[in-house]
Amino acid sequence: MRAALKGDQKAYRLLLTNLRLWLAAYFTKRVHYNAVEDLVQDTLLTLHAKRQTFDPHYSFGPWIAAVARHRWIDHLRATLKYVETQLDDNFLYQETERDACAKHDVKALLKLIPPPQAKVIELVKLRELSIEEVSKQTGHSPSSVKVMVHRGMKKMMAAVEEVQDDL
Amino acid sequence: MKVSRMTDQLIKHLVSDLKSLEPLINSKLWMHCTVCLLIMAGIVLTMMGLRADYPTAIQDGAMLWKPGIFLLAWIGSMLLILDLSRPIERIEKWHFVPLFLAGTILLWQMIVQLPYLFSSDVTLNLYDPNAIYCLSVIIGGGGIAMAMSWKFWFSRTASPNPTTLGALAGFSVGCLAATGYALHCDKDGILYIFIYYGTPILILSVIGSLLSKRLLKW
Repeated sequence: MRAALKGDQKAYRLLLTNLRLWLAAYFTKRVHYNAVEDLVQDTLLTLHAKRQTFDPHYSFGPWIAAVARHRWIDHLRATLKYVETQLDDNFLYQETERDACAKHDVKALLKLIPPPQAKVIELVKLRELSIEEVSKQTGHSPSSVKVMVHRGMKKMMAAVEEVQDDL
Repeated sequence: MKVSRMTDQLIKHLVSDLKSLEPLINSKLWMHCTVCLLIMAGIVLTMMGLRADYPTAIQDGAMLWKPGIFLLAWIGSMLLILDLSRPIERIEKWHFVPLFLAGTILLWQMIVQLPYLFSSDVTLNLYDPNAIYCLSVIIGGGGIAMAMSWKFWFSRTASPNPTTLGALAGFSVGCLAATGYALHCDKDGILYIFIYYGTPILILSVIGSLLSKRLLKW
């Protein structure tokens, strides 16, 4: 990266080619496989645009991990919004590729919040039950189900941002 | 396979687009802002002059503690800006020390001035026609400094928390301009400082935070 900052194209090509594999492994652990390549490309673009923020006095690993994590969080935000808008009362029961990605990510995130909220979100967002059905099944009132879904989604977003990078 | 080829093409494109680039260097931001501070103080002293009661102000310490509050706040916010400018958030705890010292001086002055905080003299001082200079110098001078540093530094950052970075940018340039103006201003009432110095700094911080939502996202 230090050589790349000085304009060394050979070193830069080598870096990007090696990084591509590392990033693919990084995202495969975190998101649905259909979204991995998009995120890899997105991260490479970000690296290129923001390479001046790399401090040559520090190592490169934590820097690229932070950039990848930022892209991952952005992806999760977009995915969660997608789930929220798609699975309302007018939801069309179509299993699209994007829907599958969103469900995969939400399932992974449900492990980060308290079980009662996770259960309600799973029923509403993943099993696509109506609020009334969830209310009957869980014994909570419809308004409390709505509140639990809202709070749970908020907690999931907060949890994502607090997750420590394990790399 | 098709997607993989697209990544290959992207890498090829990025490599061909590579140009030598200077990394963000902390000392350059310090130098840039110190020059801004000196210019600001120079303009205030040349056009408005040092405060008329400076011999008394030096004796009772006002010449030191008033600009000192803003100088310490400026140093503290600069340290935090540098911590937040890169993707990895590395906030050092001691970087809050200057802000804490500025707060302590402010609190000390509040305690000292408490007995006559709401006396008629102090209240009359608040209706100061010259306060408009205070507001315009801090907002105007701070605004110019912010525009310059935005192009020079902030637009090149990749912060994990852009909104905080933008707010700190506004706060920092506000404190910088306030330090310069405090050399001229002879109003040392804590209420006056809160209203006529605090408001423009707050405005600049809000502007910085609003701008960051659009301009510092990456």
